[in-house]
Amino acid sequence: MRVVCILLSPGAAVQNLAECCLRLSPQVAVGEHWIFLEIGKCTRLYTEDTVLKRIRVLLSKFGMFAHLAVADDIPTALAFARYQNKNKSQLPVRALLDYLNPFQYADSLNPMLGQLNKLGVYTIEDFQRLPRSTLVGRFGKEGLLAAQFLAEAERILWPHFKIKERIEESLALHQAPLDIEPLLFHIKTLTDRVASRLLGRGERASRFQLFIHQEKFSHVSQPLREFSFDLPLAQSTSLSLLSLIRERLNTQLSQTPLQSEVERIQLKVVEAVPLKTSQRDFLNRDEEERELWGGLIARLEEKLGRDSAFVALPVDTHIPEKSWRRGRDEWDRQNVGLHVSESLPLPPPRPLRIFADPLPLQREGAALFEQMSNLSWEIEAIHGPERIREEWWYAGSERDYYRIQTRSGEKLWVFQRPEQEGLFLHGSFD
Amino acid sequence: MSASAEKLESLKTQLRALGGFHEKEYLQSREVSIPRGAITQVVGPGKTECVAEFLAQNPQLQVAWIESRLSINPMGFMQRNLSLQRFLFIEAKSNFVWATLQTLSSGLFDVVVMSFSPLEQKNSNLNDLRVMRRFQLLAEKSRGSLFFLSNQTLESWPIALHLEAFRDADSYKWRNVRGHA
Repeated sequence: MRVVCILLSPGAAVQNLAECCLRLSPQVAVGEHWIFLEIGKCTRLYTEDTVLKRIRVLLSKFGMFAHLAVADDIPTALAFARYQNKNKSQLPVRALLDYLNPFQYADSLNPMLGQLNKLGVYTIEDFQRLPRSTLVGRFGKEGLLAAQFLAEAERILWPHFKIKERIEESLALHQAPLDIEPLLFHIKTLTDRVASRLLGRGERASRFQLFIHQEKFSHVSQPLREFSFDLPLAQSTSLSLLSLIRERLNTQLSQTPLQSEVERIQLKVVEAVPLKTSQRDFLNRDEEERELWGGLIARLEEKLGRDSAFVALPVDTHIPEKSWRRGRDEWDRQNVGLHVSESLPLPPPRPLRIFADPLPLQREGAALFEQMSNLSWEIEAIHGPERIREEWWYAGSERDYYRIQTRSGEKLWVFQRPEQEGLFLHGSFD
Repeated sequence: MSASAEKLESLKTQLRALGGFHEKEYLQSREVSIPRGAITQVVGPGKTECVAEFLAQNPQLQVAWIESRLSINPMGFMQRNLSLQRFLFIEAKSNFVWATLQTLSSGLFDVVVMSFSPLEQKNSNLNDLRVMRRFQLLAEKSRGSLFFLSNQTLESWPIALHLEAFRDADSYKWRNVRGHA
């Protein structure tokens, strides 16, 4: 067994960092203000040095400082980190406290430690030299327990690590910005942290909220500004979350600017979905492309509105304007082919352009006029008609479609209702 | 060419590749070759048909199709042997320039098609050279081909290739008006 101990300063957000560490090892335990990781079984994935470097990167993301140490068991790793010593026998005798309870600091050994000092027992090595039979007589049951835990340190059980229900990160700002760019600089810190936690937990965010707390002056009508993001495709990278936030803030803060200085920002993941693979596949870019695709769709929908970016799914109908619908999620994209019915014959060639609202045309001999765009064509040849009947249950009528070839090279798709006079331009073979 | 000159040329090519410079790649179509990492403009009646035919000839290409108000008929693509799985359609309203920049910078697409009317061209910042230069740089970076489909020629030097579609008997073809193909 190889255990890494991350000893943080008291009061640090241990739980949040521990969630990120799940990416490095599935066996994680949390102490009072320290974290243990079992990395002995991951030696084929990375070396101890790599783990320590990755932990340092995580620490810098969270703005934390920590002492790191690696040892063969939990208490020794903690003692190494606490006393910055890599020799177990040379650890101060006070390290016995870590051996007795490595997950919580306890002062039950204080009387015994006082006695040991008086006896000139300063290191673990000195303590191990004391005859075991004399320990109970000299120090009571604590003496024997300490010796036993010291000898059997590897047999300490790992407590269960429970992740928090929701991811929430906040940042107090001392140099409070009012402009978007410096604010985004601070928000990036939050998105970095949230993305690291999402990756550790093996999740992607599908809904998240950003809160901007402004200083509560009397002229500030709305000190708390809230921005909710409902993502069409779940995201897990800091960059994609940040670009969405940037778009939203650019739009909304230009309409309703901040009224006073920002004192705190908060990012909360309201809903998350499982990430298929938490480790990147170096031989396959599919996962990366899915993430990029999701990021692009989210950005486009954020700016252009829902359903503005989509894959087209065929619909089994002969009505030209209803022959496809908008699909947006990953499943739709991968399974466009499933929507195609092989049993139905394909209709006659349809134009590549179909207008949402057919344009009324006027015909004068061989000339066609469209008044709205002030366009005119000279008819060269007419092919058709192809009769298309709308669904009877919608009380639909019939349309006779003609393909009109013009002298200027266009091919227009024009229809006429049998019961009416007028011609309508519905599309073009552009 | 002598052996030493050939060797010198091959060394030059290797040095250019090391410096990040790549020879221009082309996508094949029946009449002309479309440069990768560059802007191509197609005008004239039948331009969409020509682009659809080009895409059908290159089935490996992923395509983003951007219009301000969508008039494209995806069923028409299916009838021309194009798999809809390859397409992302974007209805960008007045933000079609922004949407094209985003799509290009994602690097997900081999071909980005931007279709606009003369009025949309006039009302957007497409005539701004800086915007065109951004398109060009992003296309170069993503090694994607950016198509402008319009009824009116857009005169701007970052456009590498100008094609004109025309009707030839019952089908549409395109020809090179200006640029290298």
